[in-house]
Formats: sequence, structure tokens, C-alpha cells
Amino acid sequence: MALYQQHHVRPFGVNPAPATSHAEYAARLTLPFVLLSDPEAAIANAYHAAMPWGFGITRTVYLIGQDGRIQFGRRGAPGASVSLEHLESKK
Amino acid sequence: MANLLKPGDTAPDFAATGSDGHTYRLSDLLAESPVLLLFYPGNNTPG
Repeated sequence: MALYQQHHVRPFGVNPAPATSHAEYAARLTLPFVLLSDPEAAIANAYHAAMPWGFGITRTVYLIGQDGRIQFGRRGAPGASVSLEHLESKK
Repeated sequence: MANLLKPGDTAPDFAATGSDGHTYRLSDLLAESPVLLLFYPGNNTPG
């Protein structure tokens, strides 16, 4: 998390749970980032992170540059240093 | 499953409600800083 802050990248978690569920979860874990509610999986679909036939969400990470373009995308949950390497390479 | 969006692809804009009750729009966020999106299956899942 400190790495993200150091690089001025704002991370968000995204999943289909309603915002109220997210609020409870975030409060319980004192998560250092905001969770976004995607109840219809519209965002997941747009970012190709939804499984076919409504089978849920696949762990997927994207880094988006301030030009509005994808800088990095990967399945799974790579660590912050992996994602940020790609940010560094764009500088 | 569809392939990942590729580097250089336009990131689809969206607006969503956050766990803090605010509504976030990607295009507004990008005006401030790069954004990292972490899609995951559900709360209380490992990883």
C-alpha cells in the first residue's frame, strides 16, 4: 500500500457486493483503499474480469494511466511492485 | 473468457459507489492520479 502511495497511484477494489457490504468489510479490516460496488458486474464485464455465463469474477488487476489508457493488466493478484514496474517504465 | 484489455487500450469509463458512500467516476479519478483496479470475486475471499 505504501508503494502505491509513494507512486501516487490510487488503488480500488471492485466486486459485485453492494456498497453497504463493502462498508462493513472495509471497516472490519480497516482496508486502506476504497471498495467499489459493481452489482451488475458491468465494470467487470467492461474490463474482461467476469467469467462467462455469470460464474463470477476472476481476479484481475489493471493499472490505468492518466491518459485513460491501460498500462498494465494481469490475471491474479500480482504484488504492488509488479504493477508499479509498468508505471515506472512509462516515465 | 475474454482476453485482458491490452496496454494502450482505452480504459472503459465507469461510475460506482464506494465503501465510503461516495460515487467515483474513473475519468474524474484519472484527473488526479493513475488508478489501479483490483477485481476480485467477493469479500472474505483470500488474496
